[in-house]
Amino acid sequence: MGLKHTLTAMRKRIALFLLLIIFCSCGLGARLFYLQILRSEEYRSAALTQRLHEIEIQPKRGVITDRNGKKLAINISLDSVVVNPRQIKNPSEAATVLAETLGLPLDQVEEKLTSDTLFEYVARKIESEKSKAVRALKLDGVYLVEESSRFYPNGNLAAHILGFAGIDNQGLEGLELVYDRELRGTMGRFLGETDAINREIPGGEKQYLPSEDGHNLVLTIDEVLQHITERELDRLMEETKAQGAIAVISNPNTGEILALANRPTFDLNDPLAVPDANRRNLAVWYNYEPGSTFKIVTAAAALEEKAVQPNDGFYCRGSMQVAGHNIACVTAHGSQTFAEVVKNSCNVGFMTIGMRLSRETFYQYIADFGFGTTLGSELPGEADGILLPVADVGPVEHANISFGQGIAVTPLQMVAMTGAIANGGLLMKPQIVREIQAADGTTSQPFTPQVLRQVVSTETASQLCQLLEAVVADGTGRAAQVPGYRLAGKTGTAQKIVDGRYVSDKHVASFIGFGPVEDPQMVILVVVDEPQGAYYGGVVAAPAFKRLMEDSLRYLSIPPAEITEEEAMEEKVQAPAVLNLPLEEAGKLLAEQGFSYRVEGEGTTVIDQTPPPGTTVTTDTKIILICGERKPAPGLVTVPNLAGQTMRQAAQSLAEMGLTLKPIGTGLAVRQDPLACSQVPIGSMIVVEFEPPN
Amino acid sequence: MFDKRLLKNLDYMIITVVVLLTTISFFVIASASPENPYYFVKRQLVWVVLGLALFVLTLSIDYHDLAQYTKHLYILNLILLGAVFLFGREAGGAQRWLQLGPVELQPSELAKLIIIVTLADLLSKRASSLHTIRELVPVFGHVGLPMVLIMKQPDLGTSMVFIGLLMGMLYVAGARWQHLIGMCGLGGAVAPFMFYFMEDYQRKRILAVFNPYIDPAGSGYHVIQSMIAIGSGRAWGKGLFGGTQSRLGFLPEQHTDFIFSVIGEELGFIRAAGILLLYFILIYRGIQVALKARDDFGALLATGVVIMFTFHILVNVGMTIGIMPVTGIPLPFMSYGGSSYLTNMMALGLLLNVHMRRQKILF
Repeated sequence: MGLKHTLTAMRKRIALFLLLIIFCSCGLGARLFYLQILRSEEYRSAALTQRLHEIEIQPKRGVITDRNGKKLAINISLDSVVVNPRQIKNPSEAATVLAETLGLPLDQVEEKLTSDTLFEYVARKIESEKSKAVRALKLDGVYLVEESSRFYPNGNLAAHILGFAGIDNQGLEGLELVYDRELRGTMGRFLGETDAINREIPGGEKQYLPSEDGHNLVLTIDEVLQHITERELDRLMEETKAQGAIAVISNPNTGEILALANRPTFDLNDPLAVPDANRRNLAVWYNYEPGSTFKIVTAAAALEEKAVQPNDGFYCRGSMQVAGHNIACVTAHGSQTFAEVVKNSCNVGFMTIGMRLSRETFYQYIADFGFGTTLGSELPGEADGILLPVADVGPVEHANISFGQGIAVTPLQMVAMTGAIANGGLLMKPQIVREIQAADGTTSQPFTPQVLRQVVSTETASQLCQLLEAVVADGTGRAAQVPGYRLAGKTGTAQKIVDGRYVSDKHVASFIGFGPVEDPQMVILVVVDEPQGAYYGGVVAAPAFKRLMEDSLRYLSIPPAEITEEEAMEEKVQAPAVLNLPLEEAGKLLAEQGFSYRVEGEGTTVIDQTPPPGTTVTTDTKIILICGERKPAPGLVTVPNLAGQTMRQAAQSLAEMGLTLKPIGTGLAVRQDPLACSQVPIGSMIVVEFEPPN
Repeated sequence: MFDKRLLKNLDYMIITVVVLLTTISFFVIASASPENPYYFVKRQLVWVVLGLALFVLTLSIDYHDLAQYTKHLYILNLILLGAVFLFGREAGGAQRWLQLGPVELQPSELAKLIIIVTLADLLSKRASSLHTIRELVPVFGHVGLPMVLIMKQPDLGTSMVFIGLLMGMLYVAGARWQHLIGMCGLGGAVAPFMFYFMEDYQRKRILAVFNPYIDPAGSGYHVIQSMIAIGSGRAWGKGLFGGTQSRLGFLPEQHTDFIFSVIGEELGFIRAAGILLLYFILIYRGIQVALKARDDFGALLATGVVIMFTFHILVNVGMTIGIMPVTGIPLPFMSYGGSSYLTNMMALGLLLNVHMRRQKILF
């Protein structure tokens, strides 16, 4: 083949090349047309989506304050550690130092740092020391982001009321949950064009929707009263080793809750550290048998229905036959007026007046006082209480309910009911929120007191007030006395029901009262669940009530009542505390203060005293010291020596110990069975023979 | 330097096209570097001036004289590629750059040019004896040796250019198309094994051609972003300096390998197609040069240059519109980059050299 020939062949082949290239160019052009013309809309919106970036602007969560503006729940800013895994050069090394600095498991951090995303939280809302340490590491792709975090400056104060907010500032329990929408505010939005690393583009498209801060919540709670209440409950738990305790202070005139606390409780800043049960708001949730405190309802109904007058006579033989059942009283109270029935908390008397009402009428009052339904307070978890259906209420049930058995109520219901007696007959809706304020301070929603209904007349209420005043002045509630003030109240002791039967060693002791009687400002309820040792409402709950009332009256600058001259003449002092002291020392102490005393039981240590420490007594009161080696086992009590006591004194002494009196004869006690100092189960009957004195 | 009369024979159409492309490239490079618009433009200007000098130099030497130095060139090529292998700087997982004083050279770019010259020489000498497989073996060896060194870097794009040059030039030189098809078939059969031995990132890039959404944040990211940029440019584009994807950091390598994405986004379909047309003219005229070449060597040289340009344009543009794998192949006269521009200018010099000397000058 010659040179010419090959060149010609080459040219042919080169020309063929041209065809191939034309074909390819058309392919490119077609593809370009497809992308830029046919599918351009799709790509244009894809480009826009990539650039448009929505930034959420978190609103500030509203603060929660007490009625005086003291802050109970606030916001603080804490740093969160976030990473952009793509920017991290050496993930395993960075993970090691980060995990060490933050105290987190290494594999967890490493997983976040190696994830195929652009954003990961490594740790949320860390302490400032840790955040400083992370900043000092200067790791690429690791950032600190400021986040607003809920903080409760008082730890567990009003824990069950406030509830708490979660990591994203969402209300999880309590008022934080109920008013979450108001507190939360509205999320703001910034919609803007950003570049590939989310920087805002100057002059780019943008849309801005400002955030709206949450409303502030002003509670009816008074922080000081709440502090007092928390303190007293701590003391109560310490002293009684109870399972739980509840205290509520309310203003009877408005229904406002001034303080409300429960034990067990929890730290609001670490709410998940305790079992869930600790976070239950027992004050609204707990159904308990009210025992004698419920007699207020029976008395109110009977007085209103004119079924009884304060001076009507009753006779208590220590028990009563109802439809063939023998229902016992704490003791045989003998002949009493209705006023004395209330003072002595006589079951027989209350059964009698309760039975004078038809069960329908009685039930109507129970319902009118707010039992059996929720009261509509804003606190979550409010329970109904438990009422037997009226059709199931036979004579025995009717009699039982008259003295507070066979019915379950909530502490809040008891407070509302007692408030109605204190304020002249009006059942007020319990309130916890005073107002909701806009973030700028203007009131947006004030809460006004709400009358649910008039349950009894003002006359009935004031009559009952006087009867209840006598309970504190001279009855089972003496331990609740605050010198200088006229207080009214009622003790309550109920056996708990376990598996459908009353058990003798588990009790709920309570005291509910209000004061000052001439112009009631506070209703206070103290409930102690399963106290160890002494379990009587008058012994366990009344002293706590007294301390609460005393400190609250002082804090609220409520003046003492005008004292009559006669009262002023009598020198009143508080019974000294000699509990747990060696007998010798106790005797010496009492003698120094001018008290005479009598020793009961054998032993060297005082294990109990009557009247209890702190009770207001006259200086000539004889203090009874009960000695023993140790406190009796739970469920057992030491029988006191009753020799020489009148029937009433004996009944009182035994009642204080949880024992019942079975008297024989009249006069002063001469013999008893079981003997003094023997240990018997609570509720045992002590047979005492009385003989007229020579 | 050379006879002024030769200048009459220059293909001014090709020169015009290259001047236009280079001019456009300055604007597009400026637009593609929003952080510091003149940094790359200034540097590119230096390359263009240097490229012009090399163009004139390449043009001035009669291409027939090059045939005498093919052995030297071939050995120089191996030395440079070997040097890269031994002392090269590594970047982005590949060892491609050689530091020569103040400048960094990418010998694989120069290697393309050298292989065009040496292969054209080899083939022109054996043009009549390329009919059996046995006769083809030395040719394969000739191209294969430097290619292995380039694949080692690894530089998949340039290796593919080599295959393109080998096949195209063999065909033009007269090898049987059955043999070449067979070779390609063999290559296709070997491909799965090649795939197995490939680096992981190369494999992902090839897979991403078929479906970039397999790994949208990783290997598919370049392709998806490029397609979004081009697609969102629509018919008339977003205007020069108005591209959002390219200027806001979504598009990677926008001033080098993905410069065509910027063109598509900012200038739109009409103008992008116009630029493709300029390239077509370049290639068309290049083919004309090959057709009119005075001898086999000249025809093969021109063919080689045309194949190189064509390959670069097809693969680069194809990559930005999602029909070719992402290989680091720049767009001739458009992408920012010294080695590439200088190589292309020298290739252009060769092409016009062949054209200029297509006739015997009669004195």
